[in-house]
Amino acid sequence: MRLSVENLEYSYGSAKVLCGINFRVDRPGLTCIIGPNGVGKSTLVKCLDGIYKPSAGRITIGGRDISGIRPRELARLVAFVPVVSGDMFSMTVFDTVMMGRRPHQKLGNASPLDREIVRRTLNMMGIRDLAMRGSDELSAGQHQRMVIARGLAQTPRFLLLDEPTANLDARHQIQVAMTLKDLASRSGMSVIMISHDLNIAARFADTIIMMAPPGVVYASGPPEEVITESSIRDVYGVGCSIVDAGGRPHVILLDPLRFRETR
Amino acid sequence: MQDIHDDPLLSRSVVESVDEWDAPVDSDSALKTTLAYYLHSRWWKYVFIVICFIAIVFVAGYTITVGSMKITIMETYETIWNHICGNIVNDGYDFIVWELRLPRVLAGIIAGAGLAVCGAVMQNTMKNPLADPYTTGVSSGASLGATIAMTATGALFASTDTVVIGAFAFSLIPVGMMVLISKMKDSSPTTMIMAGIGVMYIFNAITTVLMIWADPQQMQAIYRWQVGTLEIVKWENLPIMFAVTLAGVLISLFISGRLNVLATGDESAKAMGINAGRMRVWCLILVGLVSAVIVSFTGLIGFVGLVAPHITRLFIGSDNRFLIPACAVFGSMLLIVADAIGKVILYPNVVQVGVVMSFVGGPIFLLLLLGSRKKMWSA
Amino acid sequence: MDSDETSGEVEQNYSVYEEWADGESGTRAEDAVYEKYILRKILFILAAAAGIIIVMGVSVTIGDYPIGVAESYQIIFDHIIRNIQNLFGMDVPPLDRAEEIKDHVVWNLRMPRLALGAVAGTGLALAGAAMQSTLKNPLADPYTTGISSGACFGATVAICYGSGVLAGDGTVVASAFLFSLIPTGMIISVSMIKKVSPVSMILAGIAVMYIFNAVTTVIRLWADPNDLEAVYQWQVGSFDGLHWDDLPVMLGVTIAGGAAVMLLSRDLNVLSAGDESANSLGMNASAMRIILLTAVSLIAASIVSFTGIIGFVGLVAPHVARMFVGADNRYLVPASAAFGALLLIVSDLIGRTIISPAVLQVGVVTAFLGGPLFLYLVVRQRKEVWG
Repeated sequence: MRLSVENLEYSYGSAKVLCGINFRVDRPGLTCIIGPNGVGKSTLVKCLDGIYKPSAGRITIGGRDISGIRPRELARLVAFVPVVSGDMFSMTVFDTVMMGRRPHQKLGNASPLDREIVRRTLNMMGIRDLAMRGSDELSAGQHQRMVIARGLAQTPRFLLLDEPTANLDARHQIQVAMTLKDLASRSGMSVIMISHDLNIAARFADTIIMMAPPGVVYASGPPEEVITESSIRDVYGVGCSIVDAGGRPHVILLDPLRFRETR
Repeated sequence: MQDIHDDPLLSRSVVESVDEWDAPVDSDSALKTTLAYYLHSRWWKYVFIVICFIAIVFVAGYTITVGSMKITIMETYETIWNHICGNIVNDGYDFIVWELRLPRVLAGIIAGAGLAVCGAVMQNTMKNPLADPYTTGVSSGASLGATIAMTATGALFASTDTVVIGAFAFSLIPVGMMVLISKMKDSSPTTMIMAGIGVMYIFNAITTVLMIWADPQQMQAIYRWQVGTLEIVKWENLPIMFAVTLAGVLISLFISGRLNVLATGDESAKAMGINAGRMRVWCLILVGLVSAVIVSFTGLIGFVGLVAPHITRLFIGSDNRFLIPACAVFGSMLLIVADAIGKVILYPNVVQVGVVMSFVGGPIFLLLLLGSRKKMWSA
Repeated sequence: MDSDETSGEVEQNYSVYEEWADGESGTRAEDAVYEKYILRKILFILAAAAGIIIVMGVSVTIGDYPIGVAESYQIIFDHIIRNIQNLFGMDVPPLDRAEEIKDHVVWNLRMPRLALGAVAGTGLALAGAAMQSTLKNPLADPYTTGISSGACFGATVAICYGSGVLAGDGTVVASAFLFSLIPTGMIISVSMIKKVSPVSMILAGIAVMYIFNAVTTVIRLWADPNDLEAVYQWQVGSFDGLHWDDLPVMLGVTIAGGAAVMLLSRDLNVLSAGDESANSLGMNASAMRIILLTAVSLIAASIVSFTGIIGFVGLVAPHVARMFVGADNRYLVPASAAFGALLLIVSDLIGRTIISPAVLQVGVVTAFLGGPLFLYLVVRQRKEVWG
């Protein structure tokens, strides 16, 4: 199933955030979206999930425009894992993750299959032991993994994640990234995640989409093509040296370029 | 800079560029424009205050002309001037202007300034745009005090000393309870606001019982007091109101810089050497005292404390060093304009200033809400 | 058609998760824990329901005419049986004089306020629970969208300008009901035109409330003192002067609205997890919010127009229920409903006995109970409840 984005534009009021985005996700795999702050990464991902309605351009999944797909069906195809925010009223982790099965349920009763899927996603995120905890008793990292588990429980074709590794410790960053990568390579799932960690992106992504101001795609392709000294210098205004880490680029950030030059 | 120079990973060009950042910017045009903008905005803030001040003088003069005895606006100023100079020309005019109409206007000016500044301080310390002086629970306490005083003495007029004393005495109980609860738990804005709401509920319940048991005439008097009016303030009440309000405004001005720091968050305030919790408690007590004094003389005039800071903020931004003085003059203006409207709109009937304020305040509040682009509360 | 297209993929992805499955025994142990967790919630609901029946029995005995607790159950039971027998055309033995009086006292004088109290408590509490989740704010209650101010205005107009002086009077009820729906109607229509966050809805509710209250204040200031007193009495909220005739409307709306809220209780859970999550799970969050607001408003309006503004039940009952059953709306909504009914009839019982022979309105009692309870909640709350 193919996700394609054509000439996507989005504005908050008069401020144009996305200016003609084009890309395609053809085959299952892990796609990372990288780029500086405020370049429209989150906006783009929210457009992909139909949360924001684009002001121009179109997004199609399997040839169908997503604006024409009913929300429930779209939720079976695309899952979105937002940046963690606290819950006002806390439910157990199990019940929270079970919400992810909602798009698949007819009358809202959890079947044994639903329960099994929830258990497995909890295992995948390593939070099975916390299943009966209240979601307000979790640390930020545990909460993050709970929300990812909820996205996985949707068993979507496209899993979108907004900075999933931001709150995680070193071990869980790698673990979550590896799990997502593993899922992407073995199931039909395409994982699209926003990351600020260039090295996580470079190491795990099959494709990297690099965005640059004023909301355009600067480059996209395999990591070794996208992550280069010149591209990082252009987009982030930071010098770097790139070393080879087992066939993948590894970025060592060096000097911030002078402010006036980058303006 | 030592560590950067010693870092073997950094190239020479980097070190140079960082060194360049340290160099003073002397002839940068950007800096100049910024400074010019800053000075300009500052200038505008003074203009706003002056405009409000002039408006107060005019509206006050106009309000005094309204009444069964026709006095022109020039005659008004003349009479006041003559009285101050000590050569009273027209005794009739002097009595009407000085004894009957002026106290009301002055009370409006003082109450408006006090409530607006209290509102600004509360909104800042509680970090909540919906806070107002009555968030301290002063209103519910004063209400109960006035109700008890009226039902106990059978007084039908709100001006009697027992009512004032009763209202004042009770108005500070909720503040005390809030301070106590925040000592028990923590002094976060949420705890304080919620504690205030809880105390308010209890006090209101008692007031309700008393009102239900009161006879209809008394109940009407209590209700009138609750709506708030300037009519009942007399000359002898003004010195206390003035002194306390002035002290409150001056203290608020004095701490306005600290209020700015507090607005950046408790933790960063702490990092800048301000104990946020303690400061919040003291602000609460300050606001409680000032608004208690005002409320015991005028009854519960709503909205000034809520709306005046918001409107002022629209004009001059949220820097408390300017916001607080601007609030003081704008609040005064708002309240006496409302009083003037109440006097003339259904002439010869008088609409109480509290009612006018809520009529004006409701729609303004709605407009503020629709107009504000950012979220007032985090969802 | 959509289900056909995607069902195959569910299986496909599910099979990939296989590696993370665990053994049968672990699963069973976990199920047992979960069932115990559910059982605790159901027990709370049953306990509240039992409490209602007990309090009702006690409450019926309160009054001038002496009737024992056991006796009162007997009388109610007999009355129901007789009615059923009547319905099927069976021979009903006539009551003797004493029995007839007792039957009249229990059934016509004392039961209506209990039945209506229970219905009002149920409705307000479940409306409060739904409102708190819908607007994602623990301080929300059924009146947050301005229902109380609208109803107050309607009742004030009817009492001051109409013929009716007694609460429960037809015009007062109709007018209160009509006007109570205006503020919510305004908020709902605005949010249909433009996407509105829950916070803006709350603020809009406050603004509309201010405007309505201003008008109400003017009318009251100019009103005759006796009318003012009647208005004030109405505003406090009480069950005095309610009859069996008032029950069908309240009961009907509460059942219909309650059923809707119960059906949507899972969606409420999703909604309280945030709009973005809700949208991502295939729910139109704003549409859902409008549906829920409509249901809640209708329930609250139909109750308020008969009883006046009974505060606190809608705010406190869900919080207390949440302490026992947690925030899962599938259990929270029925638990709040049961606890709300209990709270309200207990309050009414207290109001009628505490300073007997004088009677405290139920609204006053709930305020007295609710205030300290609210303070307690504040002190023991762990989290920041506002952003």
